[in-house]
Amino acid sequence: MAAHLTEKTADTIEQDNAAFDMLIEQKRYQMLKTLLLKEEEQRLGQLESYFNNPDAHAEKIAQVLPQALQQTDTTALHGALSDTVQSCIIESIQENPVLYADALYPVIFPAIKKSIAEALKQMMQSLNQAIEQGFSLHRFAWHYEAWRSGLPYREVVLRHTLAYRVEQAFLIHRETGLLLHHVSLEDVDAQRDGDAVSAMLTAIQDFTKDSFAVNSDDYLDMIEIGEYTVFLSRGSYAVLACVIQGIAPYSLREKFDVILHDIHQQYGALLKNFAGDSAPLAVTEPDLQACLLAERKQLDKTEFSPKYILVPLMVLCAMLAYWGYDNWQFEQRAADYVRLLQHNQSIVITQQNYHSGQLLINGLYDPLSEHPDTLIAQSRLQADEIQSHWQAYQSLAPVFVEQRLKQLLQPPPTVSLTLENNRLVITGIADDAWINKLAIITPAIAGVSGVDSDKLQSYQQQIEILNTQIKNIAVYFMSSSTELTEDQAQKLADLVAALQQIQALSHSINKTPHLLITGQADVTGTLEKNSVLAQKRAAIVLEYLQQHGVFIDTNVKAQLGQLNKEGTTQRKVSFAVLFN
Amino acid sequence: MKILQKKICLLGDFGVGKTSLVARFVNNEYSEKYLTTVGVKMDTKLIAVNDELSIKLIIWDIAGENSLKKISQTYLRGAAGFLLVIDGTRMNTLDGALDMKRGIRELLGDIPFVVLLNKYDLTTQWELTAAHIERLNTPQEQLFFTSAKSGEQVEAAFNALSYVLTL
Ligand SMILES: Nc1nc2c(ncn2[C@@H]2O[C@H](COP(=O)(O)OP(=O)(O)O)[C@@H](O)[C@H]2O)c(=O)[nH]1
Ligand SMILES: [Mg+2]
Repeated sequence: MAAHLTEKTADTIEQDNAAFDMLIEQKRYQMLKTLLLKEEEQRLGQLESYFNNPDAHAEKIAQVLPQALQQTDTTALHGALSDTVQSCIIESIQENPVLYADALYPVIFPAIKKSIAEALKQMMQSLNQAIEQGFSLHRFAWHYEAWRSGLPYREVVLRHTLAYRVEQAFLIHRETGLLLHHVSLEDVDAQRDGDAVSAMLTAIQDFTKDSFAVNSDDYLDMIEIGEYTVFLSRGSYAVLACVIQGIAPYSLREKFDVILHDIHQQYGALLKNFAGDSAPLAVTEPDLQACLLAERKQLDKTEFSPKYILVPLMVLCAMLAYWGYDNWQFEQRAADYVRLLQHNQSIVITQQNYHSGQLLINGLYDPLSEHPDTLIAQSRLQADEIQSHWQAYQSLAPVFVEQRLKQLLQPPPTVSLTLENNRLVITGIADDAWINKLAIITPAIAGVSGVDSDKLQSYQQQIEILNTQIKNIAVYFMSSSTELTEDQAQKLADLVAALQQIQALSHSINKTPHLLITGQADVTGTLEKNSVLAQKRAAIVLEYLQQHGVFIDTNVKAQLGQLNKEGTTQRKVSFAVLFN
Repeated sequence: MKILQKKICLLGDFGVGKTSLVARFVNNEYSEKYLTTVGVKMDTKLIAVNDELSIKLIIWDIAGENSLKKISQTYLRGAAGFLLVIDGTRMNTLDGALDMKRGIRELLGDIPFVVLLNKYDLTTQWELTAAHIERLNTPQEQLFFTSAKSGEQVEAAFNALSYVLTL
């Protein structure tokens, strides 16, 4: 047994020992682990409990969710969310559709409005085209037009067979209305200054927007002038205006929009920083050239068939017959009324005709008798069947004319009026105000064919003549100098004389003269320096005048120099007289 | 040669002579006939600054309204400078001008301008005195006594504004 035991045990013990060793190892390892990782283990435990607690978990995720969404790959996110979001929205709309309708209204309504409007426009345009092209009489009509206008037939045909062509394109800076670039077809003489046109187009847009636009994003997008249409496309910095001759298809507008968009994409920085120099924007030339499109009309080849027109023709005849009878009756009544007027001796009919069921009548009547319109009551016409224009007239006998003149003009006692061969002759001295009145009233007086006022003088006229002399006097200076040279000072003698005469005359018109002395400098150098120079020059001249017996109230002013002018003509002091 | 485009506006009461001044400056024309400006009228004029640079003025003549409120303010947008026109024979046009100047300052900030005291040919009907002019609070160099009729100082005024626009 022992042997057996021993025998047996030798094996087992070895095994047992190994197992024991392992156990010990494990224990040690466990202890080591606890020793080393105790803290981590606790934390792991916490984490685990945190993950098992949905409330705590949700709170943490809520904190990082926005940031996480920002960082995710958007396409992946969209893919993952789209189905869910879709079904959410569908479910929610089914639950409460009104809420959604309210929220979307401001977005959808303008869009719908716009798309309906565009669809209508497109329909109208194709309708117009259809009507225009449906008629096959055009060849006959063109011959007639060519014969009537004297244009070669070929040219007329060309004009009619060309559906449209874009003749000019303007690229306009939105903020200032300044022209950025302009292209036009070779045979189009852009008669007007492109810059002015550009400014004008901008003003028109502003004007219509201010006057009619209800919403801030409503803009004028089309202008029609005779056979021309202007399409306006709008980008953030520039407006593209294309001038189209003929029937402009609405699809063109999309093309222009795309071109303008491209221009913005390519040259956005240039457009944004534009400060008046348009030379760099010549790069848009190819884009603008691409706007100059054209298309020929599709001509209807079918022959004209009378059966299509028979029924309308009959209807037309019936209408004409009825209208003719009605018209004939009206003309009878109108003729009666005209006879009534002619019977009256104070009335002169100068013009009469019929137009769309109305009697148009122009004439003269003497205000002393009844007004012709009061006679309508005695006729068989209604007041709204008559459009009349009556002017008062007066007798032209010279006695009456002279009397009327005196009454109207009320000449001062220093003036006499006479009529010689229908011409009014005026002599004497008068005040300016009266002379002005004369010029306004006299031409309107019947029986006066002209006025001779050569012998009429005014105090003001004499003063103005002197003032013109004074304005023509200027004294000049050397560059940067304020010295009044001898030869320049001599000119001031004339000034002194003229000023003294003006002073004497001004008593008669009860006004006080003031002298204005303006000093000026050229544009070389700084503004400040030139301003001081101009001031000093004026002051020096004033001093001179005062030393030479001029005692008029005086104001001194300085003035900026001008570009592109000779400096020698700018360094000066000049004069003028004013009254108060 | 470089060309700079600049938009400038004429401002001032009804009938002070804005349209006439532009006609004189651009075409050297004058007509007694009073043509009411409807909406806005544009003209252009090229001014050589020196051998390398020219300024092309795009001149906006805005309809004769008596206050800036009535003028469509969008017309003023993008203007580089303006000419304020006063009729020297009608004192009340000064107040209008003062209002407009204030308004445009609010709208466009401190942009260059010149003041034109117009109809200077009507010497004896002149009403503006130095005291009135002082109310404009404008440096003398920017004041011009102009006449669209005789042409005096018209070019000088436009030209001086152009000069300031190049600085
Ligand atoms: N005497 C004189 N009349 C002027 C002058 N400038 C304009 N006018 C007249 O004043 C009226 C109004 O001028 P206009 O240019 O139309 O004024 P706007 O309304 O400011 O454009 C017209 O009858 C002109 O002939 C001027 O310098 N002198
Ligand atoms: Mg005007």
